[in-house]
Amino acid sequence: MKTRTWIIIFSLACVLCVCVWLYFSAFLSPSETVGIYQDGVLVKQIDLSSVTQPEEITLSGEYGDNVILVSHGHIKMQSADCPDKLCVKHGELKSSASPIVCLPNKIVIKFEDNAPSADAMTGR
Amino acid sequence: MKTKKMIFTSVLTALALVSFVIEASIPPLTPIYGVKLGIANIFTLFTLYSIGAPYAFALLILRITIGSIFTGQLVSFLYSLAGGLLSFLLMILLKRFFPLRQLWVLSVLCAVTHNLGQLLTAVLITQTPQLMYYLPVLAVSGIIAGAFTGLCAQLVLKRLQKQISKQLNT
Amino acid sequence: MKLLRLFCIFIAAVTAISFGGCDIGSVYSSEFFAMDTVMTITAYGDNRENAVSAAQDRIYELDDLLSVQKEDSEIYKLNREKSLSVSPDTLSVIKRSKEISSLTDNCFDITCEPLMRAWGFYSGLKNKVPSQDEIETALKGVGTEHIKIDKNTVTLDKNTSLDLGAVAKGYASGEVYRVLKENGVSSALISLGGNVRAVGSKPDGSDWSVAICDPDDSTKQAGTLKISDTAVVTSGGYQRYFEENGQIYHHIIDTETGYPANSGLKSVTVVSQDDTLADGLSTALFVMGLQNAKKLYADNSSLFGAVFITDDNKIYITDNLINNFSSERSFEII
Repeated sequence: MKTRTWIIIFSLACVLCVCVWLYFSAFLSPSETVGIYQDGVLVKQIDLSSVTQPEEITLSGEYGDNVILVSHGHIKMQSADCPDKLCVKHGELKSSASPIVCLPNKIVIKFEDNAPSADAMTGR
Repeated sequence: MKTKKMIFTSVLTALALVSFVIEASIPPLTPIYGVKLGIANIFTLFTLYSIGAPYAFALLILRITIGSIFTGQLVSFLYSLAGGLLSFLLMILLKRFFPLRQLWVLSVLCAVTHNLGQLLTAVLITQTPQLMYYLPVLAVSGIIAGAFTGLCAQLVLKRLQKQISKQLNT
Repeated sequence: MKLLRLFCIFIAAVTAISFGGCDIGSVYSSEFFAMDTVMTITAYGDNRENAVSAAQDRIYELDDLLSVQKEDSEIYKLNREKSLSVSPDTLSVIKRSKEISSLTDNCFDITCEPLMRAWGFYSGLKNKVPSQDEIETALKGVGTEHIKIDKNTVTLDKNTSLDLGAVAKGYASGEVYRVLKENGVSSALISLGGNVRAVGSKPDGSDWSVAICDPDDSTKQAGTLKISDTAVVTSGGYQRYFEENGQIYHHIIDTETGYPANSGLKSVTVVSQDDTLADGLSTALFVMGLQNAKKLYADNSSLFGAVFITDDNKIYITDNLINNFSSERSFEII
């Protein structure tokens, strides 16, 4: 194949990826409920709209502690002991499409889907 | 002749390591794992086209292992290894379809595969399939970074290849 | 044009078939009153109507045996005569209740009748805050040690009376479960005034989803549990209470103090395979509070799971419910 063909293919692939990314970001509207996972296990779920006082949550893993800061409507990784600190640089959790990830300590913070409708209610 | 190749590879490995360490100490552009240029990859491609696949493989494994120790990020060792091995496999499988003139195309394909491998490892380790959301970003980043490193290797090789093969064969 | 028309016909046919596919006739639901509450049984399967009516009869039968207020019930007679040879159902409820009392360090106690009476929680009585003397008197007969069982004869001490209100619905839902199963129903949802029991899973194989009532607003939900073949029971002070001098008094009485339990909880939801246990435990955990409930759970995590809503509106769930519980609100795992 000619070089020009490859350039066209790669450009198209780029455009496609950007479209997919925009689609993800636009249509996965963030809920207010976030889940904090460690090792794939839900550690804590927080409704950001109900948080009144800023609160720090500390999780420990193999590579030291991660401190998560929760305040009204916001959640972010405050500090981390891991070497690269990418989770701290991520800043606040903004979209379902980009969860906050700390690979060394296997922590993921992401938006949760809202609760579905129920078949029955207990305790009415 | 074999000794020359080995010496040559080790010099290139040292260069790859230096560039790897320098790149790791530059603050990342984005907070997403895997979005980076991968300058060290220039040396893998260079070795593959000028010396041979076994030497390039040795360089890759050494660079990943020692690089992880140098930067003190042993976690990233797993991710790098997964991505590195996957893309290297693709590299030797597809090499014969791409002459030196189109080395950058191969490099793009490998970079994208590399990022895919890293992402899959991350999904497995964190048990979070939602991380696949990052696939489009990592694909674009792979295309750009792959084109860059590929072109670098290609341009250098174009100027040095004759001299290198002359050196190695005497 | 002809092609377009054909296409339209095709689409119409597909729609008709897919609607016809959901056979709405395969479900039967019955709503009725018993045990002072509204009950609903929704069953799927071939024998659903017969099964539900058999279950309904069973509930009426149990209500006639176990009610504290019906004048011809066994419990009413037992409370009056203090010694009675009772039916196997009544005997079994009393025995199970004693078991749950000893499991929960007497935070659950069916001898609370004198207290419930003192606080006026029976129909025909007026809700009032009793005097300290009244409470002292009522407390004399409280305690499971005042119940003696000899074969099928139950004997109560002079001051003791029973109220099975905190387990009767649980026992009934267990019986409904058994009756439905015996009648070939493998998929049903039972709601006995807030005691929910799932028989199997939904006809499509997915889990039932049971909402937990928000203690502050009964039209809202505090969370949802995905369950199959399990009982879910919630106890909360918000369900029945009265106000006097600006103070709220609810119906779950701590038999230790004689006053409405004040353990920092708004409601407790218990999930268990055992209906009677779920019902009794929801009351017991509500009385003992979060800290003691945690300890009890640590020793009995295979028996039950629980969701706690505290006075400051925090939600805690036991770790065996992680995969079943979802909520829009914050919650923590204990």
